[in-house]
Amino acid sequence: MLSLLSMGYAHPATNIENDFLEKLDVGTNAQWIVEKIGIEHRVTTLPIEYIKETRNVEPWEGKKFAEISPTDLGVKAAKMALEKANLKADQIGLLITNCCTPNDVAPPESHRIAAALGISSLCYDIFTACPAFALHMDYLSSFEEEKLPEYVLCVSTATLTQHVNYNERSDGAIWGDGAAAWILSAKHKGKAKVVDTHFNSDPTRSEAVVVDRFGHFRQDGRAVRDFSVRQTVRLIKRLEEEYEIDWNRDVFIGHQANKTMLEQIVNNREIPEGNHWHNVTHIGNQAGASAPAVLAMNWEKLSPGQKVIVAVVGAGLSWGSILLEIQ
Amino acid sequence: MLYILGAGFKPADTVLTNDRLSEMAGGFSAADIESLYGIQSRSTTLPISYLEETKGGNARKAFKVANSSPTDLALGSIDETLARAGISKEQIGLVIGDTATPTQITPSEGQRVAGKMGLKVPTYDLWMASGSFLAQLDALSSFKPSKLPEYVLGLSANAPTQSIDLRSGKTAALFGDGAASYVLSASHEGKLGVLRAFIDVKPSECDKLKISLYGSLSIQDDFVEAMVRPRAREALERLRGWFSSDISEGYLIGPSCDVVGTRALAKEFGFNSSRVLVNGDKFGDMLGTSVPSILAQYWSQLEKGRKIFIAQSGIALCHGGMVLQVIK
Repeated sequence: MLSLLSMGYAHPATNIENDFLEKLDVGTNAQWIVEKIGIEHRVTTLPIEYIKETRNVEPWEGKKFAEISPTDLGVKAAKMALEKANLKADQIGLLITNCCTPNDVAPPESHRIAAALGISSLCYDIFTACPAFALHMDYLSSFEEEKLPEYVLCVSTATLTQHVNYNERSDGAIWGDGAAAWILSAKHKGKAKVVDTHFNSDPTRSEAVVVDRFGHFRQDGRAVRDFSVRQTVRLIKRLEEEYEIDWNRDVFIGHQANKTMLEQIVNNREIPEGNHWHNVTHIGNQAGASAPAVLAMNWEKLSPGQKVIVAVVGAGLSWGSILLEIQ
Repeated sequence: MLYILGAGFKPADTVLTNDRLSEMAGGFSAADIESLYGIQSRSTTLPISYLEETKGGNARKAFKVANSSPTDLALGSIDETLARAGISKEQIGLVIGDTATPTQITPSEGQRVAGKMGLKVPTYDLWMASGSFLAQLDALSSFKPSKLPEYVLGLSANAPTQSIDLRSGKTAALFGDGAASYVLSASHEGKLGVLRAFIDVKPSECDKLKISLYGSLSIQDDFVEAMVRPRAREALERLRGWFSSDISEGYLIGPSCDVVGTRALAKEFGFNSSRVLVNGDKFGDMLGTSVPSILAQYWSQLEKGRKIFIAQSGIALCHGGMVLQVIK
């Protein structure tokens, strides 16, 4: 059975405040953002003056001004995970990566991250954007355990703020940039045992969430929100039915799309606020890095016997869940 | 064992010959390309008039004028794949995609294609550029049987000519556009069985050939001669170490950017020249599409009992190899 040995995360330092978005004068205001999305500020790899002057109407210009790349964030997160696992990069036998905002479309992001870390073992991208944490866990759980190397490093990184048109009322309020990394082993016990994984998708709805290669992020907001809440609740319910979940002890982490959506979910499942971990209110939606970054940021708070349910949804449309048991 | 039950291929419709290319690009002749790489033409999704006028190199503009997208090409390969596998699309339980030239950076190529097929099944991309086919099959061969659905659809769709600047030198001649798809199963025997594979990567070289998100394809000038050719040879050495007695009766698939090198390898290692399977001479190197496209193109000619030796090197793939058994 797979064990989660360690995690890492990385976020840029520049904040986009709600007041800043209000001053862009695109029909939004700070109060609306907090009421509808529940995000107070979010982090970006873009200079704030660049966003103010250009609104990132031409995202290819944004890439030139970006202060940090998705690769940089991924490497930083990976280094944290390696340090926490007390491992060197050359001990990694497989690196898989998810990145929905690459600076180059070839070679895959995994190769850029591997090059920066000094990893020379097999690496490739396993990609589904937002639900990557669940996909990677489910993908690796599918292997015959003896076919997996001793240590596997997974990285999910995204810089969606570089693909937002800041003339759009709500898009600029949603996204933040970030990366998360985690190290797994089927041969060594870690802090968290991977008890259950699930991944599925409905590609007939793949046009609902899109980042155009030569354009911006766009989505059918209402449809995606309804899908996200419904599907996340279903994912949690299945795990509640099949396993002994105690919301006074156990933790829920959802996809960090927005806080009001997460509140609907936790209210539906009657999860106490203290057992609902999130970071969206001050970081924004970091796509496939979101949920794992939450877990990484709270790693030291986990206690033996506790269970963690991660339920994530997103582009594809795809969704998945992970059940961890803390050892 | 993992089996390949069916494979299909759809190249882009427009053919760009060496003569036309050398007229537009300058700096090399048609004969130069053929003698260096063995490539006579390549398929492209771009109108020839666009290339004549602009010489390429601006993926943003190329995308707007392209006659078809990688997704369109992938969809064009599906019917042949399913017919050869003898299944309907409703029987597919998992779709794994690949592209190095997406029109959207989210969602994945597999999700775009599966969506247009009307499929509601787990779908994601496992991609490694030139190594994608090897990586996909190698991974699925390592899955627990209970974790694989009855039928898996794999696909690779690429349009690198949309990122090429014709003025970049002779390497502009290497690439072509096309898509291939394949049905895989661990529970039903198919025409081809995956015997063994290996993949070696060298991420430290990831700058030697890259496709920029917004810009053009950049490639080390001697990429084929200095990297692909010697490494494909190393790959074949390794495959020979596993199945040396089968070489003289087997088939060889080498890197599609180096048909000259592939034919030389075949001679050196003792392959019968009639069993060297290439299509790079006609279609160019289509990245992850190339290997499955060759299997698809030669599908009905593959003779039972023989082995197929696949020796590869390219973007994101230092070298890799796979040996397939022709079972039916």
